[in-house]
Formats: sequence, C-alpha cells, structure tokens
Amino acid sequence: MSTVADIVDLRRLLAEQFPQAHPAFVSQSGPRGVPTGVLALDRLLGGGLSIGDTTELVSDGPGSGSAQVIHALLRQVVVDGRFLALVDGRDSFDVDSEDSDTLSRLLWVRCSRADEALKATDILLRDRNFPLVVLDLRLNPATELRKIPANVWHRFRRLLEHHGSTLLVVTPHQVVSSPASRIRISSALRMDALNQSPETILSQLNFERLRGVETPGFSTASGLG
Amino acid sequence: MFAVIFLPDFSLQAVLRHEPDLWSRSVGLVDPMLPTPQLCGMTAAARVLGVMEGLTLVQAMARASDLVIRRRSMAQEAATMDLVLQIACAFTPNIELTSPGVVTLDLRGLLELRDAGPKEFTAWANRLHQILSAAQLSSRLGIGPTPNLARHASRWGDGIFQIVDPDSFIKGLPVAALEPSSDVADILSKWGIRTVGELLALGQGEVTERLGLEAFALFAAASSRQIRPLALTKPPERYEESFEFEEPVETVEPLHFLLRRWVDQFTQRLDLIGLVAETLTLRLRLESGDSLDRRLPVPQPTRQADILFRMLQTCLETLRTESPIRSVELKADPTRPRQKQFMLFEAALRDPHQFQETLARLSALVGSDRVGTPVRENSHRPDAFKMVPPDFENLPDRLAHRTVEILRRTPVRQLRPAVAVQVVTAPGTRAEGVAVPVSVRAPIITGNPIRVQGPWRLSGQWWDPAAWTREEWELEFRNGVVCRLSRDDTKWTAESLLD
Repeated sequence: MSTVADIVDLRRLLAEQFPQAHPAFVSQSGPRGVPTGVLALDRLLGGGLSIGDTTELVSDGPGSGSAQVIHALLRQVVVDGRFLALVDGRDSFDVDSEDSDTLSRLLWVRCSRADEALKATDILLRDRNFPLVVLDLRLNPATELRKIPANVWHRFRRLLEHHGSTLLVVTPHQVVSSPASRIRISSALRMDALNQSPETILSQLNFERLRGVETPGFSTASGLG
Repeated sequence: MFAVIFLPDFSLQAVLRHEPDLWSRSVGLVDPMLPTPQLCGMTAAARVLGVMEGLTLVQAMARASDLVIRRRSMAQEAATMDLVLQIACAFTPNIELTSPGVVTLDLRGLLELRDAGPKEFTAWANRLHQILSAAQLSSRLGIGPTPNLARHASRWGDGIFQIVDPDSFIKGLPVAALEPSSDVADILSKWGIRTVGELLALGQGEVTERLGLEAFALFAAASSRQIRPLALTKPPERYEESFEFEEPVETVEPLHFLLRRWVDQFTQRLDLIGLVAETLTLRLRLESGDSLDRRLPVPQPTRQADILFRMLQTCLETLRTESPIRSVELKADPTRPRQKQFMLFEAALRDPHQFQETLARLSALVGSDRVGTPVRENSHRPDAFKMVPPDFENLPDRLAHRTVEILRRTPVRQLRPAVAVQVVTAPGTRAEGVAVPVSVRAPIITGNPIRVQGPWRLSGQWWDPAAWTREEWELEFRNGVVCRLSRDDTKWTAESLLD
C-alpha cells in the first residue's frame, strides 16, 4: 500500500473512531459531494456539490441570494481546512463581510469580463491544488454570456474529471451546457436581510432543482431551510 | 597528497562556457583592457590557421578571415572560478585559489583517501573530472605528494596524472616548467640545460653563484619534498551567471537555452553541498539601457532543475519588453533544505510550484493587482482592502474558527467601480434637516424607492489630507432590488447590491 493511501486510511479511521474531534473532516469526506454550508442546498444536491463535475447555480431575480451561497461556501471551506478559488466575473466579492482568517483561505481572481473569467477558470482547473473553484458570472451582461461557446464547458468537465475538482458556476440564467446539477436560487431577499445574521439569511434561501440527481425524501421545490 | 585542478586557456573557457559550439570554430579572444586590443587566447582551429597570441585584430583577421572574435570578460572569469571552487570544496574543505584557473586541493586527512592506493586516487580524480566536464569545463588534474608537484603534474600531464615516483617525474620535466625569467632561460639554454634533472645535477650552490637569487626560486620549484603552506580559501556562496549577446535578441528561445543550462549547473553545484535554491533573480538588460528585474521566490526551496526552469519559463512567458534584450543574468540564493511537518487533517497545497506558476499565469491574464488574497486595510472606510500573494502554506489553525464568534455584515455584491447615480431628495420626516432620496436614476436601477434606511454617516483619517467622509443609504425598490447608495459631498454613487 502506498504512503498516501496509508494516510487516507489513517485519517478515515481516526475520524470514525473520534468523530467529535474532527467533525469537519467527517463532513468533507462524505461520499456524496462537497458541502456548501447551506443545508437546504446540500440536501437538494444529495450531499453537496458534485465532485469531478460542474454545478450551475442560476440566480433568478434581484436579491436571489447567490452572494450568500458563495460566502457560506467560503466559510465552509475554512471549517474544512481547505482553500477556495473564486473567479469573480465582475469583481463583486464583498471583502468587508468576512474576517481575515476566512479571507486568508481565498484565492480571488478579479475579472472584468466573462471571457477573462473563463480563461482564469481554465488556468485554475489545470492546477491540481484547488479541489473547489467558483466561477461567478452573476453580474456579467447577457451579451458576454451568450458568446461563451459550449465546448468551454465540455473542456472544463474533462479537466474536472481528470483532477477530481469541483466547479460551481453562478449565472443569471442557464448558461452551462449539461452540468451535473442545475439549481435555481430565487430568494427575493428584502432590505431586512441587511440587518440579519448569516444563519437567518441562509435559512430564507429558496432553491429549486432544474437538473440533477433525485434525492429520495426531499422535495424539489423551495422551502427546505 | 595534493591535487591541482588546472583549466587550460582559462580566459577562453570562461567566455566560451556558454557557447560550447564555438570550440570547433576559429575563435580569437581579445583583451579589451590593453591599450591596443590584442589576441590573448584562441581555439585550436584558429591556431592551425596561424593565429597566435599578441596579434592585433587586423593581423588575426588577415590570417583567418572567418575568425570569430570574443571579448575577455572578467565577470565570466570570476563566475567560472566560483564554480570551480564550489566543485572543489565538495571534495575537500582545504582548497587554495592558486592563480586564475588553478586550484590546489589538500587531500591529507580525507577519510575516503586514507591508505588509498593509486587506483583509489584515480577513481577519486575521475569523479572530480566528470563533474567539471558536466559544468562545461575542460580540465587537467594532477595528483602529487606536494602542491608544486601536483601543479606540475596538472600542467604537464594529460587529463588525470598521478605522480608515482616524484624524483624521476621532476627530473624529466623541461626547465620551462619552473617558469624562469627570459634572461635566465636564455642562459640555461646556452648552457645546454633542457630538463630539470640537468639543472638539479649542477647543484644549487653552483647555480646560485652564477645566476643569483633567482636560482633559489628555481630550485624551490624543483623540490620534490618541500610542502608550502596553502592559503586556504572558502568558496563564495554565490550562484550567478551572466551572458551578453553579440546581437540583441527579440525572442525567448535563446534565453531558454541559456537559462536551462545555468539552472542545470546551479542544481549540480547545490547538490554537491546539500543546499537548495530559495530565490531566483532574473535580470534582463535591454538595448534601450533599461533593465528588467524579476525576483522569483521558490515556494518550496528545491534543487530540482525542472521546477526551477519551469518558474523561469513562466516568468518569461508573461514578460513583454519595449526593446530587444542585450544581456541576461541569473542569480540563485541558496538556503538549507526545510523540513515541514503537515497536520494530519490539514489539506496543504499538493504542488506549491505548480501553484506559483498558476499565479503567474493569472497575473499575466488579469494583472498582478487583481489576483491574490484580499486583506482588509486598517481603516473604517468601506471596501478598503489590498491584494497580497496567497500564503496557503502558513495558514492559521482552522480549529480557532470553532470558538471565535465574529460579527459580520451581510454579504452584498460590490459594484466596482461604484456607479454614478442621479438622486432626487426630499426633506425627511424622521430627522430635521435630513434630505431623503425619493427618486433614483442610474443604468442599473431607476425608480422611486419603497423603503429607505439611513443615513449612516462614516468618516475617517480626519488628521491627514486623505480624510474622507460619506453618508450611506440603503434603498429597496418595488422590483425587489436592494442597493446601498453613498453620498460623498454632493456626488451620489451606487456601491453595492443585496444578492
């Protein structure tokens, strides 16, 4: 048995024997996907974002809550002791809402156009260091998104399969061709959300599965918070 | 026992080390320091055509029309000597820089050569010779019981020469090996003295009586027993190479060729003393007179040539110069290898070197100030941050996050740059004298807000010229858009959207 396999087995054994000591490891090593930190979304995805594939989060309408999901994912990544690469299609990430320890686990690529963001994503997916990449195209204009050729997503899928990475794409409408899962988020957050705790806001988020695995026992409609 | 490394045609070797193909061609080396530039070295091919030391350029070109001229470079000679000393020091710490191109090694006390016979010494010298050859250096090695004998062996022997019988070896050498002055050489020639043995047979007293004090030096140089103390030196921990192109280059291929060779040599030299490269510094001097400096920290200090070269390759891919490149310099800073114990449950970077390459590519794509990890500035000004290079290898312990509760603002989507908006205000009801936005016109949102919160007044740095003050308003519109507006004096901007 290789050394790497030994370490993986040792980690798993310790996590099973002492789950209270390493809850983060137990959550991240789940067989069903990468947890997002949003319970409703994880349940809809059958455990988390698809490993080795693309998940599209279609952000429908103003105040949909997609920024809340990205920030929740970043905090979850910190809990898991990992890193997150965020390709920000319109440089809209909110630095002020995170503490410095959380920000220290973020690689932020601040793009100004969709094509630039796609190139940056391609570069990151070829780097095996990042198991999780977020491509945020939420604020990019439709004219830029329409110009994205379908083969880009095919190429990304091949890279994801090859490296076992996970890609979350946040879009204003359906853009990704044949993602593993496509979830619509339409939460219509109101002004009150500005004064609420992150946990309260996350519990208000509405998700709807448009494409992807069926999870027995869970509704495909909203209201899972 | 002592060993001497002798580099024949040292000045020429130093210059042609980076152009080994030229050894098969007619090449003349010019010393630019002389008042009238003269040839001070040449390749064997040039010698065959009648080119010799002391000729002027015109005279040399008249004898060999296709003669390639190179200038003697003191910087190259110094770099070559550094290289030879570092290699020598890997074999014994007691080394002497005897003269340019000559290094003496004291082999006494070396454990591996204790009680060694000729076969062991030859095997040892072979290893040294191979390493010098790998560094593109042509060398001769002499091994003898005294420093002088070893030097004679290296100079008059061929390849690797070990002295077995010192007396017969020294007696068989020509008198020129003792390097007499030209006057004394003429006298000895007239006496019919051709070999050192014939000179020694005359007797030191007799010769000194006739030739004066120089005879003492000749007999000392001919001694097979006198061991002079070595002026020991330490090799510099300097790993630098430079090359000036004859014609300025506009493509990266010539640079790749040179840099690969240098990186290979650096790693071999580092390997000899068990160090690793911590930083690479690349300097390109342009024809315009400007120079481009790039300092490349090695994420995990290493002496793997492929990794170091890949870093340089990525750096060159992202470089754009205004004018052609005149010369290139590469420097490696050595350090001791680091050992790091990773946490069992911590996911570290799989390949830090690959990560640095990725960062370089991303920087080339979007700009170096737009890639990295954000760090909030020590200010209360909203959205005040700077980008720093990620340091995922030295992160704080994630367990700390379990206990620390931090009050965070609700995440929004920042609009960068902030969007200018036209705002119509009306006197508010809640506070006297406060004008409340009642209508907004902007590319992203137009209409009358149905709910308004504010103003939130912020200010900072009142003590210096960068003082700022602003007023923030949160507005909700009928279509569900919630945005944050800011007013700086009379200018309104949309700063962020709730999403």
